[in-house]
Amino acid sequence: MKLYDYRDSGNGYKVRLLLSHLDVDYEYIPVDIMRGETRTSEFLEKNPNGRIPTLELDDGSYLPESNAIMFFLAEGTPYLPDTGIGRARVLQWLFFEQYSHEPNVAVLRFWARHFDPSTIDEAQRADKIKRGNEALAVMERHLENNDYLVGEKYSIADIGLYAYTHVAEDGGLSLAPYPSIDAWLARVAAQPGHVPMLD
Amino acid sequence: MSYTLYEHPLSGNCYKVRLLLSHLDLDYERVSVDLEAEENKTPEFLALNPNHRVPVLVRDGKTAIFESAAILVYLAEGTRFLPDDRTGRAQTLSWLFFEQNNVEPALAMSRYWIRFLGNPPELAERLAARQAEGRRVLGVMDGYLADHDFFMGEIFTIADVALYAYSHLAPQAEISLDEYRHVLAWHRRVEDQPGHIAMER
Repeated sequence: MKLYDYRDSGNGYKVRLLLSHLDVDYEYIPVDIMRGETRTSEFLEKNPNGRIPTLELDDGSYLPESNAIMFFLAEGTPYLPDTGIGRARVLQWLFFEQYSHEPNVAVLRFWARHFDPSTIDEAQRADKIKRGNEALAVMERHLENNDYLVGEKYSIADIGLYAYTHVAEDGGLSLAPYPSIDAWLARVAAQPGHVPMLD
Repeated sequence: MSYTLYEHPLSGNCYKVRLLLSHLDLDYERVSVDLEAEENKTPEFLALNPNHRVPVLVRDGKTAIFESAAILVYLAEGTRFLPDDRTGRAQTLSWLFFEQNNVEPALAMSRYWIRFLGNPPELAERLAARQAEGRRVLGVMDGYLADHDFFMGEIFTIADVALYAYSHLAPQAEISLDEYRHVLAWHRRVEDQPGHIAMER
């Protein structure tokens, strides 16, 4: 397998973290999104949506979307429940991540790390801060009564939400109001096979 | 098994679930949630979905599943609407995540701002950016459909259900589909499936 990835991407980190837990070998191919390398015709043949991470399978086919890649890798392992309702619960958190969390929490971080602050529209930034906090509050409420997101067991739902939550403060969101998230971050980081996002 | 669907009749995300339920010929009770009256923010509703969005599917009066795409996968497992091989399932999910992360925020938000918020001038710049992103994702879909009948190749799956919902509403987002002729041809194929139901207008 080959993983096309950008080192500073939390979406790519999800896949790298799961591959570490699974102790699977793969070839790492860095793609510089800041230099337009995901929008070249060569890359668009691999993923027409022009995004990393993209996984190249051993049969030469390509699988984009971090959470779909995790689902693929986790099937038949302890990181994905084997009941229909359990898988649905994992997926509901992964879709929550891509719709309500990542577009706010990850984008704020991306702006903070890669753009001159004077170029960011203040109203849009304020909107993302508000929506990012709403997403974190949803997680906090759930984690007040649960050690992990699904079924009291570490799964790809936790990996999916850990990736950008643990670096949320890079984008200007404070995690101080969320003690249950904080305790959960520590539980995730204590899993065997855990690797940090940036070496 | 009995199903209750908490939903809003004009939401494309809710329509996806009703469309699949129709294809599966499953009976369900429909509960309309009044979003203007904030019925989605009551303690009872938040117990079903802490993220206060519709749709929510409740099985047997007790097990709630939120997020439209997760509901689609749940209902489609073991049916012809979700491939039964590992790679096919993952590719289907890949289209579902593309839809929720890229297509929906572009097409559904543009439609919402125009149709339900009355196209406020202060959102003009953001609307133009979302519409441009809408044209980009329609281009991605059109390119794929140039060589395929459906998103998983030759069979109609929940990837088509999910991507149909807001792409067929693109004109309500003031995005013309005229230049996406493969998308338009695919819309006709989706509508020709037995069990298809139209969305309420």
